[in-house]
Amino acid sequence: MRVLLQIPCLVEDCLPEIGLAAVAVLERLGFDVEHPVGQTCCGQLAYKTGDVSAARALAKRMFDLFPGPDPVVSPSGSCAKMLRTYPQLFRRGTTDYARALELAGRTYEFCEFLASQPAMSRLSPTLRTRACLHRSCQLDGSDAPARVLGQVRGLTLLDPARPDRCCGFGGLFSVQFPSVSEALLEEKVDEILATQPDMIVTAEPSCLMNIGGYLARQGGKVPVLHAAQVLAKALGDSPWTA
Amino acid sequence: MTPRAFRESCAKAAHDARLRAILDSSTRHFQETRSAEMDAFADREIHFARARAARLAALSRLPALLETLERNAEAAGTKVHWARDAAEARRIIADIARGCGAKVIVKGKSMVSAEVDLDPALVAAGAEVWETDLGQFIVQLADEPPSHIIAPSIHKSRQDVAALFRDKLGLAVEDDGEDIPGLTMLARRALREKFLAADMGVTGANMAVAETGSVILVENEGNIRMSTTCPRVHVALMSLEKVVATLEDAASLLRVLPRSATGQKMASYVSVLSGPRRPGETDGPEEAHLVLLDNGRSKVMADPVLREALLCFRCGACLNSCPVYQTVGGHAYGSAYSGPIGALLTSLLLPPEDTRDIPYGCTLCGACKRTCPLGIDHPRLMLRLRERICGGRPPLLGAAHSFLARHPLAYRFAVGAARAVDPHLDLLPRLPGLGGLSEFVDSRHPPELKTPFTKQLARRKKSKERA
Amino acid sequence: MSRDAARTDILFALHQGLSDAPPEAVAVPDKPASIPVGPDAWERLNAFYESLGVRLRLAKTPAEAATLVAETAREHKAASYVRWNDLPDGLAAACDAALAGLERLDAAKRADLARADMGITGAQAAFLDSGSIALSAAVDRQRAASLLPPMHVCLLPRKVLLPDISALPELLRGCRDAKGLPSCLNLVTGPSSTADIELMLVRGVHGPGVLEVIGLDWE
Repeated sequence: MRVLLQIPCLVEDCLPEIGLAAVAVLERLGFDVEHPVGQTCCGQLAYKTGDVSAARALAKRMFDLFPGPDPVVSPSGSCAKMLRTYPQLFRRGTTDYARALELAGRTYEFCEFLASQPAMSRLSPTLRTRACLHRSCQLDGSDAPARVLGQVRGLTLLDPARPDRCCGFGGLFSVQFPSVSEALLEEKVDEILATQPDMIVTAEPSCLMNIGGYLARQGGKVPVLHAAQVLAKALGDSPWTA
Repeated sequence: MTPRAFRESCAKAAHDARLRAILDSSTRHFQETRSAEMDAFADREIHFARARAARLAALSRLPALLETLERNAEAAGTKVHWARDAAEARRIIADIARGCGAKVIVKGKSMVSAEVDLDPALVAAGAEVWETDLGQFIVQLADEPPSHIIAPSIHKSRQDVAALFRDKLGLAVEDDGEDIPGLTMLARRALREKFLAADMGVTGANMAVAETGSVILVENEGNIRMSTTCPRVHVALMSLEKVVATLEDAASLLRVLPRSATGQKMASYVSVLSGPRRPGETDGPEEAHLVLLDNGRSKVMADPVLREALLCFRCGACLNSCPVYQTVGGHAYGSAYSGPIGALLTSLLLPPEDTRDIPYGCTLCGACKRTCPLGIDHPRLMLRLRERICGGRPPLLGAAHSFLARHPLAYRFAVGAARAVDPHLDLLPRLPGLGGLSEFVDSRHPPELKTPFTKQLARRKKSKERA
Repeated sequence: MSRDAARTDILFALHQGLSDAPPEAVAVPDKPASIPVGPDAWERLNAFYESLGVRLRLAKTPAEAATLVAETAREHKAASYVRWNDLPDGLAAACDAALAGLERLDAAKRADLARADMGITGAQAAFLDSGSIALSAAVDRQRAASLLPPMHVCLLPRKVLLPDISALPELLRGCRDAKGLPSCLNLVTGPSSTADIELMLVRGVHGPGVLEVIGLDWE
């Protein structure tokens, strides 16, 4: 079965290892992974700034890049959410609206997609580690990352004290309200580190960049990884970092 | 007090360790109490849905319901007034005060009276004005705005309160305020005098019932009962969207409101007021007034997305759940309304030039939406406000990014150039004119620009083919 | 006239806004079934009262009820009281007799209400899902009797116990007369309280700090 891989702009140029890990995992599960060339941005930055017409233009690009009927899988909860928001950008009854609805109906966040695949557990992914999960708010409370990582033998999944609390990134927010953003990030990291994890795992690249960047500044040694990277390693694939 | 300074106020608050400690403990306390009650609330989703339906039904028939409310309220002996804006509301109520020769006015907690800045107008009409909700009383003495919908003085310690009672009221306070019940009793005695001497009581209204012309008020302290029982004249000031059609609708809301606000099954006192005292009764007001306030709401009703903000029944739960509110508190918003719903209402009711930053002070995490019993989609409304502010004229950097994103070759060229020049992003984020990006990389090590995924994937494919 | 202008402007603007973008119809889920009033009604009420700091005691006869009222007065060292004239089953006279040692003040006089140690009322209803007691104002049922004195003693007949607040509309409509609804219906759920200073719960801030309920456990 074929899947189309949506790669967030952040992953394309700054975190390519996440994309490679996602491909490795999907291929191990027997999928034929196609990566449409020419992807740039899903439009969420424009949309969240309030530039809806730019978001519309970028959405239309995506209709052409990801023709049906194959499912679209994204290693970013926020990009998947944006793709599922495309219908709200267009007026009902128009062709664009129909295309948006059609695309939204077959878009999956990476863990969400895996959680529905029985093949995963049959492969006995194994990794002895204590992994603290950052449940990105961009996944709207989905427990798919926890369910998928829960299938990894030897992996102890930890939750910070307030698992559902935002890490403070919020895209533009981190740049326009830097002190508040940093205050939230500091509290999130304190709660995560209090669980004494071997690693931190998340399904959202922007949160990963936010938390990982902060830890690097603090001289922290705990690696911050995407769920795809953890699964790739657990399935025995190397390299799981580029 | 203005929301113009929102960004600076947020930065200041984020660095105020004392404020943050108070906000942390109080929002946690509210959340824990509420969540314990919600867990025990049988059929809670159905009750939430019924409450939402009651509010939606009211909004969808708002003008007709207001006319019905007016008719039934007047039949019960209440005088109904209409105020298009804050100035009109102030004038109407000040006229009532002057008309009854009011020298002492007692007030129940009313956000809408703060919205229209009522108190100075009443003072100008020749009266002493006393806030009687304990938290409001405290911030009135401190000459500060309230910092939370449910607990206005949450930012004040017992020592702060003791000092206020000593300095502003001349009361003898023992132990520097250690004894909170003692402090509370001092306030009770002081305000009791005012209730008994008051000519007029001014309150808000939690809701009004069109079917019966009744005003419903919910409280724990008893100050609203005092303000609507002792003085000769009662004025209820209500924002016009708070009317509901029937007593059944009111009961649906009353099932949910106290639980969502303070985690109580029911507040200590609910007053259902239908007109002034009847002939032969010896307490209750002789004159009852209801002032219906528009102040921008009818305009909001015209936007099918944004009008959802008017469903709100002011439980305050979204404030306690919001990571931004938890960090900066209520004063930072510079408005009578704070937190997620406050950000929306402030942006909708105040001039756009004063509120440009407010909808951006949100990470869109959705905690508010998940908590709201009425299902208000705050993030969606926040984005709609951003769309209005952007107005088709995006900021330069945003426009540049969108342009590049629509032209993949130009995009790849730009990224490639950046990677060639500054792959560790040491220099680019620190260029002038990029706002908080520089602060961002102060606290976070920036990501590296690496060999792009597309290229690495192609290499991997090639090496697999060779193998 | 300015009032009419404001009214017209507001209603016009609202009509305009709604007709430009009519709202969608809303489905209302059915009200969940209420737990009916059963033989365990008093226990259910008491479960709330314990956490609210309210004492509930039961009386099997009016004489017992009056005795409990007198005991309460003694415990709290009350020297004076006001009461509703409208009390069930001859309890007005019975209470007066039992409280002979106290000064009886006039519930129709503000000054008396303000200095009474105790206010005695009946009740028009109570809701078992929250412990709320409904008091509707009338000529012989003063609002301030349950508000001004520091202690409120409520005589609650078993026959007015109702399942929950969904009974409120029927209750209010039942109280209606030629002139309409009662001028005031109060739902009282526990004593007056606040937590505005450092979130510490304090009882008796403006209303009574003590609420004593005497259940009239007879037909």
